[in-house]
Amino acid sequence: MTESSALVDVIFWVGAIAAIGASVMVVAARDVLKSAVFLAASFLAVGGIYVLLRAEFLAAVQVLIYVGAVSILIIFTIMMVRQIAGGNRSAGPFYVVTGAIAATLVSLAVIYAAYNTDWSDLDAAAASDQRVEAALTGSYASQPAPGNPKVDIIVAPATAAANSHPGVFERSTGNLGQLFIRDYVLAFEIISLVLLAALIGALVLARERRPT
Amino acid sequence: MLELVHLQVLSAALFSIGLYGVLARRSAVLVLISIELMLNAVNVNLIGLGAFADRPAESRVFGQILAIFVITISAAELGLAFAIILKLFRSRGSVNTDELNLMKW
Amino acid sequence: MGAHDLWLLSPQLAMAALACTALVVDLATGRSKLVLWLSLIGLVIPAALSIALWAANPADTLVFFGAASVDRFSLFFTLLFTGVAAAVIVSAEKYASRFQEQRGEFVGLILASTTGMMLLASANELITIYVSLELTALPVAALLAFLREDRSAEAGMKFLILSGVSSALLLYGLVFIFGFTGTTRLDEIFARIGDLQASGGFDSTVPFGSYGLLLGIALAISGFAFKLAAAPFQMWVPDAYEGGPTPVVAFLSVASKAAGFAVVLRILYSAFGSPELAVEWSALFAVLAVVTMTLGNLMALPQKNVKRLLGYSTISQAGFMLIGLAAVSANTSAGSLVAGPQSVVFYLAGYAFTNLAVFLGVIAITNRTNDNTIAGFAGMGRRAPVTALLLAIGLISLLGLPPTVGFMSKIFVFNAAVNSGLAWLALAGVLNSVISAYYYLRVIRAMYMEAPTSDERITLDPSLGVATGIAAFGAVLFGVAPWFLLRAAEIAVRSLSGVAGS
Repeated sequence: MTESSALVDVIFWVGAIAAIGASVMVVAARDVLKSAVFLAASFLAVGGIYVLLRAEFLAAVQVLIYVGAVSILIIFTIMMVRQIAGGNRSAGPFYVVTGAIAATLVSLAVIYAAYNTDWSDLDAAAASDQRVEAALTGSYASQPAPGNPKVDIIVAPATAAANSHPGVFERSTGNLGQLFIRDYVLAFEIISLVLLAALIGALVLARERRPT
Repeated sequence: MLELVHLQVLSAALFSIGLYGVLARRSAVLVLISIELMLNAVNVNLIGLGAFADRPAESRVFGQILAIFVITISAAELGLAFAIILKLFRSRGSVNTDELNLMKW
Repeated sequence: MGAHDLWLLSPQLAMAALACTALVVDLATGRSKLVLWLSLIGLVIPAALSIALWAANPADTLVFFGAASVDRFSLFFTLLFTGVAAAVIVSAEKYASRFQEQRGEFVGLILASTTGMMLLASANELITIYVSLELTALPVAALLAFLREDRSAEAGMKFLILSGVSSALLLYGLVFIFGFTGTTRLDEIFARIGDLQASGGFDSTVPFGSYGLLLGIALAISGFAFKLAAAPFQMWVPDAYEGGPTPVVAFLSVASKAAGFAVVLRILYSAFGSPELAVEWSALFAVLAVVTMTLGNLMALPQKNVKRLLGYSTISQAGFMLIGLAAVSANTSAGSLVAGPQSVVFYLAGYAFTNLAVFLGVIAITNRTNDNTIAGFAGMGRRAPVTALLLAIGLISLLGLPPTVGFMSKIFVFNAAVNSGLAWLALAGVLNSVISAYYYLRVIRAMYMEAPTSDERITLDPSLGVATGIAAFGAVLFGVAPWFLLRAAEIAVRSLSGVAGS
């Protein structure tokens, strides 16, 4: 990141300001429908930042699911239940004050922690970790995980260096796919059950009641 | 020069805006939207930590996996939430979601 | 992934298969009674598999690349959840007539949520924990909204929204933990923290050695507080309890809470179990315990609705359990770290019997009277002698009087607290127990001392009667002879890495 870093900075600041501005509008808008549209804008801006970090697959997911499905679902519901649209009222002064205090405290705490934590400390620790060590030497596939005598999936040899381009991902989509069907296969399978349960629940609740 | 802390501050800002929306707004739909903002903020932080971590490419994408799970589950959660809103709408004829008494702790 | 993994995870897989079977049978036949009894019989399979695995006690517990750890700790809870699910399904047999028309789905969703809890108790990796947590929460949110009344939909909505907020907080915490340690597996987090401590990467002036980790753990704990029904996320409890269907509320208050404590225990001991960190979170839980039980008790005092009262009672019981989490350094003959978590696990098991007896008793009575107020329970000692007796046993156990399991649980928890130098916490617990006598005894007084509002006898259904009887019997049995359960809790806790290793 040498000659392009100024451009990266500009794009990041534009995206960040757009995301924050849109989010403020989500909370502040009088009309819930407008909130939903600003939500989509905020998602898009954040998706742009993902592209900047070279997390292309995640950016695609962000646009497809958040902007394409979630925002549309919200807008669709608001249209269907029209009374919601004007109902973005404040919950009352007590809650506004509580909300403002809580939001300020949380963001201050997070920013303080972010500044005062040496996030690079973990590099020393990372080196001692067997899994990463194995990945560094490209021997992950031949090292069976505990409890798994046979590992059938062959993993591509890892890059020898650690992060040579801080701030961007490398080859993230391919690695993602491998992690999905290897390390996180259990979570991946549980998700299907979560979706099934949500589907059944939503179906039952939204089903038109038979006239009795 | 883009640094990790920039992304963390952006994430903190988005998260607190969402938190404010959850606490200070009355409409259930807006509270749900604010929760989406919070989850989105979590993802920003997650991706930042992954992108700047000084580790091999394989282990840096761990965070992206969680982000994808978060997006999927929040979509499922919203689907369920709107089914409940629809049910309320039907049973009351005309529903004002802000009569939900959500804030009566 | 091999046969070994599938065998170890077989209780969870069987439960997931059972949930799908229930849904398919309901879809194909539309006969809800069939679905109900089929699932009850089917629940024997995961229970049997859990017992078989407990007996086999395989040396290698990690499955699916370390995503889950099927040790005896998780099997203890697997068995507990299976039992609770069975009781809840039995209790819904008559109650389900109040649902709109979807009784088969009720069973399917209960079983899906149970699957999530079983996975949660064995999850050993942050992403799996989050996903399992959502699998337990989403079906419950749908189930809370199952009744025809608006209040029920509101209960579901409120639960869903607060579950969303708490999982956002939890995720933010997990992200910081992941960012700081660079891994999502609990055992690897433990190793990394050990390395950092050894290499001087920890700042001893900051709690938890670093602001990043401090914030991560604080956010994660406040997210989990929702599951535990503990402060600062207890406010959904009373409304959800009052509005939701009683069987679902029973499920929520027993199984969901146990699942929350199981995962918190595992994270604390497997990932943050090093003595330096344990002291820090012990202090945090001590404060949470006092706040939670006091808040729950004081709010319970003026309640007139039994379900709402039980909601606040659940909060205060969570406070007592948190004492066990705070009692981390109890030095007993059993070993330094065992007494605290052992008392929590024992408390949870005893609480399952106790609270099921109470809830099933309430369901048996309100199925007929349809009146959830305390006044509606007047004279039940005469109108429904057996049910009232079982309900009274449950309430006495909640209050913590001998010879019930509630008494024993409190003794063990307070004992662990005193042994870890937290005598003031035990004292606060005793004081709170005294306060709680007021509202528990009020229900018993209504049942036995007040005149009934009608002379109609309330008979107990055979299936519901058997389930309530078993629960109340367990509450007395483990109060008189707690040793078997106490030993099982100790074995379970010792299989947690972090407890055994010390």
